[in-house]
Amino acid sequence: MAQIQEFTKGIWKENPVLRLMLGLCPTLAVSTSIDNAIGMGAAFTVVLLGSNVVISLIRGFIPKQVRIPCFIVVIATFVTIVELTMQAFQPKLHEALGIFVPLIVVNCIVLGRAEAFASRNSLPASLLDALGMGVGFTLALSVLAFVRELLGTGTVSFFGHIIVPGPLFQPAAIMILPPGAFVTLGLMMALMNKIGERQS
Amino acid sequence: MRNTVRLAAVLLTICVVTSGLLAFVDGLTSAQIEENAAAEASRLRGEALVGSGREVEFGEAREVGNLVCYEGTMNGKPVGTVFTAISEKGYGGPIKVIVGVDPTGEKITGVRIAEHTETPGLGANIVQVRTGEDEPWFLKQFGGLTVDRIALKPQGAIDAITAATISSTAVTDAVREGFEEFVKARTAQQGAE
Repeated sequence: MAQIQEFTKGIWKENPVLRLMLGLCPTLAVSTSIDNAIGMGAAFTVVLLGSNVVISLIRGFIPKQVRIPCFIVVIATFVTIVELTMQAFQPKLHEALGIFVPLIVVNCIVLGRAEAFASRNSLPASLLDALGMGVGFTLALSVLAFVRELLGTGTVSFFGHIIVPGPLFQPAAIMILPPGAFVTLGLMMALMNKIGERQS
Repeated sequence: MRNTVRLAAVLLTICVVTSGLLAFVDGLTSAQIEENAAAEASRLRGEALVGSGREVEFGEAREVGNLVCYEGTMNGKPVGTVFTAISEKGYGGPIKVIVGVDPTGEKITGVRIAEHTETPGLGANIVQVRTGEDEPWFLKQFGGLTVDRIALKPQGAIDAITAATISSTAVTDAVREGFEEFVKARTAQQGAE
């Protein structure tokens, strides 16, 4: 059961966004609404699962000197598959996420997991690692998006269902704009650190 | 030397396998993607003419001057013409505007935005739909206007979006300039016939 921590570490102890500070560009850019955050998180998780599994499987064949190009080709393939599928079957989501889906190729979390984990660990461990990192990324994005959507627009909706009706107050548009992302993310990191300190 | 060949061979193998996979996925999705794009374009053109929720049939694209126009019909009766105008003056990049004109060619029936990259929460409000309404409130203002009234207040009849004057002006100017061009080209064409 020691393997279970490969899953849980991505959610809290080594959360890619809030602990490892990776993948901040898409995090800041797409966390304007819960829908976008979950869509991005799902796309990211699928790519990470695919790349971690494949890279773990072929890790014995990849010569050390060309490992980075190999990883990038594998990652880019999964990103393109996700993008085409999304464009065909979830056009609305595809439109909302725009450039940030193709940019998963250069997302440092995916490459980071390939290099630091999948290329050195067994298939089950890599699978759990990808799942944990995916869930951790999605959660971090969703919390960030919830705060921004609530304060920035006054309401929160989840794929067409309004979960926080409103507006109960005057929304502050700055929360939807980039400064709101930086402020919220900074406060979230501070909170994580505070809790982490107390635990240790 | 042998090592170099091995490196290249491994990378080549991976590339070949992944390309094959991508070709397969592309084959599965390309038809659907094209269909989505065509349906979306047709839906927006229909909305620009008669509002949402009603089916409008469009004929082949036709050139009037520099504009690509589509004639819309409902149950065989003409309901107007739509054309696309592009504004280069958007705040975040070009704004592609779809404009509907009534059959007489005198009034705007409606306006829709096909593509834009305006700031969320500010300029992107050009497509904001208020709760309980079925079309963006900013674009709704264009319905029924003649060419001389398509301008921001006080010159014209359009209320700009608060804190997004650049986006509001870009859309308004694109509609007016496109409409002017359409009227001019149409008059010239009718004169020639």
